[in-house]
Amino acid sequence: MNTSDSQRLHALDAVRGFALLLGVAFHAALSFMPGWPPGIWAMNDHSPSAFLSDAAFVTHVFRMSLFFFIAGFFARLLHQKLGTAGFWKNRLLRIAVPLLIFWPLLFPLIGYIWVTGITKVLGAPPPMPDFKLTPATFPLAHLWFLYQLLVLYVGAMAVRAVVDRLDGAQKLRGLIDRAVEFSVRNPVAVFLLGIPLAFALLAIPMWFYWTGIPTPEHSLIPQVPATVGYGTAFVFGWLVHRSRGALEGITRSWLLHLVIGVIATAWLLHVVKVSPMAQPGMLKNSFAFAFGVAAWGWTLGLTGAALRFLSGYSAARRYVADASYWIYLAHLPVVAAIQVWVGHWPLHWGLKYPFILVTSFAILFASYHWLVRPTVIGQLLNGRRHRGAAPSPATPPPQSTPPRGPDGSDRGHGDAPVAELRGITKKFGAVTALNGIDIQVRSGELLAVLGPNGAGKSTAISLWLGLADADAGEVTLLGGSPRDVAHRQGLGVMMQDVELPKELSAREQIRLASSYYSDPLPLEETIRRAGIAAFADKTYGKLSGGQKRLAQFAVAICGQPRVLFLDEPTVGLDVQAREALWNSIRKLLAAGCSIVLTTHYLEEAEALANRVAVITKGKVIASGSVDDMRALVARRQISCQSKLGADEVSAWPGVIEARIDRDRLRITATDAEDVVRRLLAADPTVARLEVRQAGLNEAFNELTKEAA
Amino acid sequence: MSAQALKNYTIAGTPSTNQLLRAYLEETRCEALRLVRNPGLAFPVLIMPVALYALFALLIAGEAIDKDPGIGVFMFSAFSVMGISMPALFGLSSSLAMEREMGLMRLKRAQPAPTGSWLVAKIVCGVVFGALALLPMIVLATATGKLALDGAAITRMSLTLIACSIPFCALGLMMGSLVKGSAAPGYANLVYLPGCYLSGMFFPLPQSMHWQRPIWPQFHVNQLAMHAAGVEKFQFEPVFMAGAGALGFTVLFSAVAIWRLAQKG
Repeated sequence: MNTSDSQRLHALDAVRGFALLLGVAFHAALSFMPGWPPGIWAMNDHSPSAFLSDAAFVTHVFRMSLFFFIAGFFARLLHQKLGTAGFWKNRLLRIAVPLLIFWPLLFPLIGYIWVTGITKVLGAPPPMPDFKLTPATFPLAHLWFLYQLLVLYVGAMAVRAVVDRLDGAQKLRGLIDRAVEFSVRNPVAVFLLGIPLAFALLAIPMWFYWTGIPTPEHSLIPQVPATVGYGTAFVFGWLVHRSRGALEGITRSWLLHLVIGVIATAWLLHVVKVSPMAQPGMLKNSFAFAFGVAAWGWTLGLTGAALRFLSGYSAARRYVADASYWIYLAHLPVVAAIQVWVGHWPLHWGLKYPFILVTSFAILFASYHWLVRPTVIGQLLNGRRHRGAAPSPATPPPQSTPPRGPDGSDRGHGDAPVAELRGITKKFGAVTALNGIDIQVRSGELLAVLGPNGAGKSTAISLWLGLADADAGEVTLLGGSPRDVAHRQGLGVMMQDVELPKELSAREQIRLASSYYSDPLPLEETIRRAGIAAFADKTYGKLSGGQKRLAQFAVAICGQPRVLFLDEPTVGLDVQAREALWNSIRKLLAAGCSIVLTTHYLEEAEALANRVAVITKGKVIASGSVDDMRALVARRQISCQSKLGADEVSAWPGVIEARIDRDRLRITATDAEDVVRRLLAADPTVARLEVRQAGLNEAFNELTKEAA
Repeated sequence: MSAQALKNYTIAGTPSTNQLLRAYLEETRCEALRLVRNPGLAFPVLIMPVALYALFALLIAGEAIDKDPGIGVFMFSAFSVMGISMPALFGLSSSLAMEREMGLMRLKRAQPAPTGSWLVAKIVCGVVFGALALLPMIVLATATGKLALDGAAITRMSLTLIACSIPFCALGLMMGSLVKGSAAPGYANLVYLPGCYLSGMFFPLPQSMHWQRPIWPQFHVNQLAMHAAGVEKFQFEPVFMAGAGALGFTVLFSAVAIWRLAQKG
């Protein structure tokens, strides 16, 4: 698993934890529902709240769909990792065993609290209903979701087996993968996924809008609306894991999905307030449809937002995500008991609800920390037992260190790259800008990236700057993702096609850029190092082209970057200014800064670079030191005054090209010694003979010609 | 792990609150400097509303206002909405559009600039410049007695109007994220000017045109100002609806802008 995958899993773990903890908040609100008859919930609080009723409805619209969506994603991930037998072993241990252990413990407790609560509300014990325990009446309580998960696992495995047999060439699955990706990049899935559920909901005869998908908590026989609704979520999560680009699409469209979810939910809320009970007709049809849109808008929107903003490793989030499973399993008796306890207190719900939440979470987190995390229960629920204290936030993420090579071997830290592109492919529509490219920038070196226009240099840089995402492969900057602001703290950048605001002086621009960094250079020092003291107070619009480039250079170095990206830095500079800039660059290198330089000026690469990478058509066609490059195309230039014609010489073995330039014969040869011997033999009058190594310019031209 | 490698892998980590605050302040300062140093933009948006107000409310409609003080409030509100909205709309749309064209947004995304610091800076400047455009109008209106409201009502109305520059900031951001630099003011006008008239802000509309008023943000903002001033004669929708309208437009415009910026940068 590569780093970016594991980072995404951190985000999805956080979403799953969020959905579960939201369930606790939801149940904590249910004693405050206005107009609920006694017995539906353990308590009817003296201070009912319309606001909590609305809030509970909103969370109820999406929280379980969100949970089952993530569950589907992880189910396929697990199946890929463990195989069918391993998958079943794991699921039985994590899902079926907790269901079998926790139900007998929790159900009597829940029953007792319910009876106590209802007795408190009614002033007398409730009449015991005539109850026969059958599969169709089995009270699963809030553990129904474990049972539902097991049902969905059985279904998924069965469908997978059938599809595997029918779709051996993966044609159908390839098609579905693309459809899934398209449907999340464009807001299509959000409108379509709820349709099967809508039909299931419409078939319910006595449907209270507020309940949404009726909770299948009273039966072991799978209920149609829940199985259809949550099954769709589970299957779609599974398919999203299959499809390469779907997570990326969900990440991009997070806001759009969320806005759609919010709008649809606002309308649902309006309907619930106007007519709580569904009557057959247009309103019921549109409510059922909008319910799906709302659930999926929230599900995809929240997942995308988490992928966008929470993809890094955070020890605190990891802890909460680990704790959430236990907390959800154990929360109901705790929450209900506190609700019964505070139900008749003469206080406003605005005080009581937070009290219930805070107290419940305190008890549940404490029980997790001391009774679950370090014990066999933690091992059962989360697969591992943590001994000792919780990890401090400084503990590194388990997946990302030490860095491992593609073969799984440890790479030494001594020459670990400060920035790396590994197996990167990036397409723009039909154009492949980068095609499986690998480039490393090592500590303290200057890597010159050369290539003709459109070769993919700028795309490579924009990936390192976190401005774009690769379609495949892994981008690292200072040991992490360049999307992470903390890692970008270590970079400085000078872009080619960027103009700074013309109304501000260079000094003001540097001051602004310095404020982004946690350890910037003093302002005057930046100005001195960039050599712009003479015009630091002129507004940028009044500077010459070369001065503008130097001002941009100052902005790039003000944060004391560990990696500096310079995109064609000396375009438009006169010779003197260029020499000055080269000197500044050399000083940065000497101070240990790593630099990536793209340039058209080959003498610039020759003057500064430790290593050169030549990119053409999205591929690295050569990389190595400047000398390596020259050796790679071991050619030399021979020039002399001679009577011989260019045509005659160019036919000799070892001669690549011969031409007459003014009065001199110029020969490019792979085997210079032999050519010179033959030259002297053929023309004794040869004069002013000169043999020299080809410059990088010739080497570069030769290489790109070969690749073309 | 060697010391050198350690140095390579040590990253500065999450910026402290102080550092974030400094970045936000610096960004806002630079944005304000840019607006001030761009007289082509600052002058018309700051001077035009008060000049037009002086022309219409004092010279042309002066007598009518003396007969019916309600008209004075109506006109003050209309030109005030214009005053608070123009810097927000034109300032933000053209600066954002230009910055996108200059590649500055790409640079900011690559630098470790705090997410949204440029946005906060622009909104703060939009609101402050709106307040600066409003101030001379308040002075003029009270000095000439064309605003027959007590001090508390004027304060309420002014604060409401200043807060109401935010929907126009959002509109400016949306326009700036949708169109090219030099074209931004033109397109912004195209969206803005019809609304000034069709919202019934400048002159009362015939009954037959009332249905379309709620689609213009100016209408809701103007209504909020009327509620704040307590002038019942010109209250055409409940304060709750006006607030919801202003908020709704803000959310809508911001969502389009954020979505567009996320897609195109």
